[in-house]
Amino acid sequence: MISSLIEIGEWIFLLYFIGLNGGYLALNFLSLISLSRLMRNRMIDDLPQFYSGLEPPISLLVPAFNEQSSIAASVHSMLQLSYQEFEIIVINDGSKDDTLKVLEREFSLIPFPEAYHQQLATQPIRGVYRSTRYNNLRVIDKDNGGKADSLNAGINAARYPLFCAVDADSILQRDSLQKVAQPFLEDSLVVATGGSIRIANGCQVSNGFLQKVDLPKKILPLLQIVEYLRAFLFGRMGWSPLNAMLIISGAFGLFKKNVVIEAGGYRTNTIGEDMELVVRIHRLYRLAKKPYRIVFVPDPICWTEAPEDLTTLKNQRVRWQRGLLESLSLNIGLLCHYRGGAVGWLAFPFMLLFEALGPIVELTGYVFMFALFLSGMISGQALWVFLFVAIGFGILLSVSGLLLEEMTFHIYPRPRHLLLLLFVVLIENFGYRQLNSWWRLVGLALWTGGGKAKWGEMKRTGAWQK
Amino acid sequence: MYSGLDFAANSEPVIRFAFWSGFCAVVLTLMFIARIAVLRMALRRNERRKQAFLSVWRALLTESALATIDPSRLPAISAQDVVFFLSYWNHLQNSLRGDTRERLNYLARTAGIDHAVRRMLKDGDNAERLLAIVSLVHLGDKTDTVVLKDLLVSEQPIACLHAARALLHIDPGALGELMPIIVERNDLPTAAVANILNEAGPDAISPLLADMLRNAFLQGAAAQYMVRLIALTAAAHPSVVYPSLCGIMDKTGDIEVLAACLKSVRTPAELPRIRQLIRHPDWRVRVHAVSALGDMGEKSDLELLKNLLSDSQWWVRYRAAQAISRLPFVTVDDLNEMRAHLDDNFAVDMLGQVVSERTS
Repeated sequence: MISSLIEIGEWIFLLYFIGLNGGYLALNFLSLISLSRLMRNRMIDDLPQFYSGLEPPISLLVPAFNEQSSIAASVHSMLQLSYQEFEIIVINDGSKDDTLKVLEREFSLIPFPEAYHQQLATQPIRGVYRSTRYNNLRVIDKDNGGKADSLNAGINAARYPLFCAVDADSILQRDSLQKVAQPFLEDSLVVATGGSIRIANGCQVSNGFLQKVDLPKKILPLLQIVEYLRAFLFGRMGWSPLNAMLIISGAFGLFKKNVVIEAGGYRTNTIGEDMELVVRIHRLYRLAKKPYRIVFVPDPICWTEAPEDLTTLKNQRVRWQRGLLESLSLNIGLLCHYRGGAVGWLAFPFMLLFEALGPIVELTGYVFMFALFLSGMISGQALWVFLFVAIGFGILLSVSGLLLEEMTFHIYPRPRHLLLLLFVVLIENFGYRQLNSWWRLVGLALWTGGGKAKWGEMKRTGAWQK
Repeated sequence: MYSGLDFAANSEPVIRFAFWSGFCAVVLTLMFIARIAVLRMALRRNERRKQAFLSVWRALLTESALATIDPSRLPAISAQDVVFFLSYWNHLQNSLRGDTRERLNYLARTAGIDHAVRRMLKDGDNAERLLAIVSLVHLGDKTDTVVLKDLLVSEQPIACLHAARALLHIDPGALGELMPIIVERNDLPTAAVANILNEAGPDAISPLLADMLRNAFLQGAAAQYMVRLIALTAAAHPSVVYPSLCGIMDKTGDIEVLAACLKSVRTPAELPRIRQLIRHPDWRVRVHAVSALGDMGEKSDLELLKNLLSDSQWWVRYRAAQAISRLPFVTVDDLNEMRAHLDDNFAVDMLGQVVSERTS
């Protein structure tokens, strides 16, 4: 009887691991097809561009909370973006430091009597400022209400039909807006696009722009580079052709303003406001049977600093897990809904089963197998085979992310970069992934407990920034 | 000695299944690593080859741009190097003007590149075909127009766009044939089509566009197509397309089409109609009518615009304030005085914002 139960347990964990990794491999395959198609047209660098002045203008929304050290450099770099017509709206979310003073000094701000267009409810606005040096720069000063509330205030003040939510510490490429806006030009059904985020640690950044790509010296950011390759090159690229991508990173995403306003704007009582908005748009459009598309742009167009210490990384991962669970639970009506399409029947169940609840099964699997081994109920062979499968598939997925990168953008140019990344791919499966699962389990437990989510302290070194 | 195969054959099914699954993962991992290594080696080999090729040809191409070069000095170009040649040659063609471009063409023909380009167009992969199309623009040989016309119906939008551009450069007379195709293909971005029409110039496109507008409207074309056509009139001579646009404004019942016309038409002859449309029940029409009035309005329109400062829609109020501020006979002092006498708070705020925009 016990041995039968053990065998059933072994089958469950084994099939779960294979299902999880098989799912990712299927996404990998879809990404491979999409990326190959995309790259075939990108091989020629000198193709003339078709810009005509009919490109939709964009409002860049930059929420800032206690960003006095980096905000001026960020805004200066955003002002240099190459795009036909855009405005920058910095939203000072009740910063306790000198963020507003720095902005006033750097950009010669003067009070601006904005006839504020309240389409989404936000915390009170203290004042609106306009730069006397840059016509396309405004600053909204408001009471603290969080990132989502700031973005809603930015949407209220935005003049243009598309808005781009950007983190104040993001480093953009000069052509980031052109690339992320391209799908809107090609298809009128597109309501949102997201770009690929890469890790800036180790890179050389000057005047707010990336000058030279390199790998970080520290192990934690290195491990995250491999994670980001997996997450963006097939985690998102795989879902995009099915129009089932559930996440657009809050660090850089472009949206149709009227669609977001109709959807009710960013939800302020969730910690994963970026994902929640995308899932909600899917739900509203799918259930109303309205045609739409949400598209992923795989080009590396936004660079961000990854945490370099365990506490910050833990806070981030716990927050992401809570955000994921909140986003799914708030839109649970989409799950297997008869109008849900690929989102309701594939992406949503996949995220729920493998991403949201995954840590429980993964960690229980490890504990179960080790406990059975230690109590003599399974052989050493069985334990090793279990680890062989779990780690083997983990390495396979990371290597496939690296393969996609090498087939497409190969932004890490030197052979030593490649060798180092291959080494990282191997070692991340011995402890780091399990630690990540533990943090996600903590996130799941905290979400189940229902306490108010906090961001936690995000330490940034900015060492790569000149 | 322990053997994986013995173990796999003799263990219980779950262990056997797990082992073979892991074994497949390891095999796939090794295949992927090998593929990465091959790709990286190919990339480096290609880079080295390109550098070696350009170290010889960069000097020759630069020299040939300045003076005709003796053909006997030209080394043979292998099929693999044609892409490198064309990339650099196109780059020079785009940066230079006048006779130098003819000399570059002469060099390309002497080196047999024109034949290589046609081969690429016929048998190359997508990227090579695009490079070939772009190169044909510079070679400018009219015999290539047949194959370019075929590409206008290519399934690939990007190939169609580049073929249309090449065709226009080689044979401007082909505009009549290509314009309906690229305008009607809704997989081509309107901005990209507008770019091609801009290159063709208003003299050439205006009569064609006016005809297309008239016929499309008479045949009851879909609103989306009409809006696209109307947006494209920005590249045309107003005097040629306005009669068609005004005709459409007169008869259409579609809000999107009417709004698109209002966005495009700027002729005082339409002022009476525009004055009526600023009271339209749909705010999308009002907002464009107000903007039009701001561009062409007269003194008598000031009162109409002032009334719209209290419109229920923020965008109408904003455009009305901007329109008033744009009127050539309205000074900042006038705006401030007007603001001081307004009763409606929305109107006061909006005019305050626009005054500040104008003065900052």
